[in-house]
Parts: sequence; structure tokens; C-alpha cells
Amino acid sequence: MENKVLLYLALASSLVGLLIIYIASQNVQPVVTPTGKITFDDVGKNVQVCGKISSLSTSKTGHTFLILEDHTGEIDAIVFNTSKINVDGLKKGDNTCLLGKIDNYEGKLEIIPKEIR
Amino acid sequence: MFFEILVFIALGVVAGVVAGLLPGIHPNTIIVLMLGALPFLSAYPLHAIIAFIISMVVVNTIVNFIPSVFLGAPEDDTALGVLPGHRLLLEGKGLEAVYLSVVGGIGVVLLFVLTLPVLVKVLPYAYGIIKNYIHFILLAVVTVMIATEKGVQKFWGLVVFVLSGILGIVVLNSYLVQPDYVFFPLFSGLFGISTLLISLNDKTRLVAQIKNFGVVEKSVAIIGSIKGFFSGLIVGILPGMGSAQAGTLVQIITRKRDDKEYLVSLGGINTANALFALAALYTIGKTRSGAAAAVEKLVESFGFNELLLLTGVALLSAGMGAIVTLFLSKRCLFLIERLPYDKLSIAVIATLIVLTIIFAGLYGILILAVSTAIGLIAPLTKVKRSLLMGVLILPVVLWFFGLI
Repeated sequence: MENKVLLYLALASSLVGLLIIYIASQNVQPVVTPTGKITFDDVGKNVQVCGKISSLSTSKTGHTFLILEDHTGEIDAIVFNTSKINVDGLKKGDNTCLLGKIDNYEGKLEIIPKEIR
Repeated sequence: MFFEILVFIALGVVAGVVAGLLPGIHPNTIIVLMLGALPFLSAYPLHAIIAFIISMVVVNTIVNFIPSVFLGAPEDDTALGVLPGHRLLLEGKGLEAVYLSVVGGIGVVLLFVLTLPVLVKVLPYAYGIIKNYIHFILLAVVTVMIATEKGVQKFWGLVVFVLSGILGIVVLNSYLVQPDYVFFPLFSGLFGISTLLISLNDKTRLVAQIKNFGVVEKSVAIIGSIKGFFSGLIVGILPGMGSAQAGTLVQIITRKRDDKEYLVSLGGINTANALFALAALYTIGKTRSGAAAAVEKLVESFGFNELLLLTGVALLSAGMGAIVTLFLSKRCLFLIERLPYDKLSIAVIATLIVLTIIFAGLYGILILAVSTAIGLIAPLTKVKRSLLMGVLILPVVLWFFGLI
């Protein structure tokens, strides 16, 4: 195949493909996982957990710590002060969903949210 | 405990070789599996497990260049190495390309050990100064890269950088593929399959490979290792910087289009990156890699004893990694020379597609296809393929500017 034709094909595929990936990314989110089902095998994976905020506090350095509980258990979450997530409106007792990565901190599982819905 | 440490180093070497040879298996994957198995490993000394992690990571950085050069199947750390490495392979110098990267790896380990007493004092200050300017440094690097293209290629350089950058922003901020596997389709498409497709389209034939290429020039080995060492230093302590960005930095700073010296540097950067990320635990108390994070989780604090252990294990495993790589690269070459290159390229492409389905599912295939299309634009317009690193650089820069 001529290089010029290949270039136009590559350009067209890139643009159309980026659009498709963008649309897909707006519609795909991790399925809701009960907190009690999250294990150390899930470390490094993106998950979504939904439930009620049973504890909420902010450290002096600006990190926000919360505990989310559902009918199967609970999980710690930490929103770092460098995160773009707005935690101002959150309060204890709110029902919410956290989307983020599972981490193992000193032998305990926690979620680092990328989004709070 | 000494015997147990030696046994775990040997196991680390084996794991590092496996992770290095198989595209898609990153040491972080093995570390995650291992941390999951910690309850079963609790009978062994913690320092032996740390030795396993360090030796696996160091050996992996050295062995990684075999699939990069011979098959054009890079991981993120070796993505840039595949370009000059593949070029040398097509000139019959594939074995030399792997040797050069091994020289860089060994050179950097020696420099690391020699300079460690000074580094321990200097690193915290250097980190404090540079950390606030990383996005400006990256932006300056990209600007120079595009500005040094000729004529209309400046435009194409910008197109390649922006398209790969948008791909990175969309994919890395999505939930399409699990974080551990998202780089596999991205880098296999941008640097791997696109390279192989161009070779197939040009009907490239693998020329007879030179087995006796003489000795690596001293100046190439020393200067390449020093460049790799300092670039690895930047990568190892700064967030958001990967080996490929550091490789780009080397290209820009030196402005020298010497593939051999560049490969020595890249070999060095990968190993230096791994070592400095671990040393950063001691000097600045920050985790900068999956391995460092795992080590931090294992020990209460990364003290001077751990630093000494790191140094010893790094020296031993780098030596073992080099011997294994030199041995295996000759065997790989023997196989590759006996297989038709076009069929081999098709087989590698098919393997990358199958591995993408296994690791990243159908969305992974979509990402692989788009990455391949974007990856084709750079060689077809004859602009620097390192601009494809926009896939990581643009998201990092925008994040530091607070725009995403």
C-alpha cells in the first residue's frame, strides 16, 4: 500500500477511534461491588462501591478520610489533598458511590476514589 | 538468613527473566500476586522477600530489551528503545543492540553504588528544588522536540503529540481497562504493532545478523551510562516521569543521533529508574514505583540497612541479569534467523492481539487499534516517534497545571 494512502487511513482511523473511545469511556464504569466482597486480589483494580458514609474527617494536611458502609461491610477511603475531587458537600450519613482503585495500606484494604457520585 | 536471601535473589532472577521475556507481564503484576501470597511467605525473613523484589525488578529492566529489539514488542519502559533497537536489528546488529542496553544497565548499577554516599545527602535537596517545575520541564522538552522538526513536519509533530496525548487523557481517566493492564494495548499499538506493520508494508527482510561485532567503544559505554544514570535519577525521584520521557530528555539534551550511545543510555535509564525509585524511599521517603510501594509496605521504615541490602542485591542481580540476557539473546537470534521475518511479524502481531484480549478485554482491542493508527502517523510523516510519548506527557502536564 502507498504510504500516502496509509497515512490518510491512519489519520481517519485515529480520529474516528478516539471519538468511539471517548463515547465508550463516558458510558463504562465498574460494576458496583459489595464492600464485603472486596479482597486483596482486588488491589490495583478499579471498583465502584456504594453505601452510606459512616465516618468523615479531614487531617491537618488536608487529606479526607471516610468510611463507607453497605449491607455487607465497610471500607476505608482516602481523598488526598492533591485530588481534584470536591469533598466539601459530603457529610456523615450521606448515601454515595465511590469509584476508584483498591489499595493495600499497612495490611488494610482501602479505596482511593477518582470520583464520588 | 544469608542463605535465604541468596535463594530469594535466585528466584527473583527467574521471575525477572520471565517478566522480561513475556510482553505484557510487568514485575508489578508479580509483586501484586506475591503480596497476596504474603501469609504463605511469612515463614521467610522479610529482607529475603525484599531481595526477591529488588532482584526481579533489576533483572527485568535488563532482560526487557530482548523482546523489544527482536520482536518490536515494547513495554512502557522500553518503548523508545524499540526504535533504534529495531533499526539496528534491520541492519543486522540486533545482538549488538541488546548488548549495548546491557552495558548501560551494568554501567548504571556501578555508578549507583559508587555515588550512593553522595546521593544520600544530595537527593533530598534536588527533589525539593525540582518537584515544583516538572510540568514546565516536560513542556519545554516537547516544545524543543517539535521545534527541531523540519518544515511541514513541525505540523505533523504537533499532530502526533496532540493525538497521542488525547488518547492518553481519555484512556487513562476511564474505566475501560483495569489500571495494571491499560499500558499494554497503548504501548503495543503506538510502538509495537505500528512498527511491525510498517516493516510488513515495506516488505522488510531481516538481513543476516552479525554475531561478532567487536567491543563496545569505551566512550559510548561511559558517556551512555552517565547520561542514563542522570536521566534515571530524574525519573526515579519525580512523580509522573517514566523511562521513556527520560529517554526523550536524553535525545533532546544531547542532540546526538547516535543509536549506540542512545541504547546504552536507555538500558541505563531503566535500571537507574528502578534503583532510584527504591533509594528514594530512604532519601526522600516517597514511593516512586510499584516495587518501591511494595517494599514500603513490607518494612516499617526503609533505613540504612535496607539501603545496603538494596545495593548488594542490585549489584549481584545486575550481574546475573546481564549473563542471562547475553545467553538468551544469542538463542533468540538463532530462532529468529531461521524464521521468515514477515511471518514472524504477523505471529508477533497476533500474539499481541491475543494478549490484549486476555489482559484488557474487548475495550483493550479498541485501544490497541486506535493506538496502532496513531502510532503509524509518526513514521509515515517521518517525525520523531518519541513524540508519541504525548500519551503520558500531555496528561501529566495538564494534571500538574490543574487542568484535568
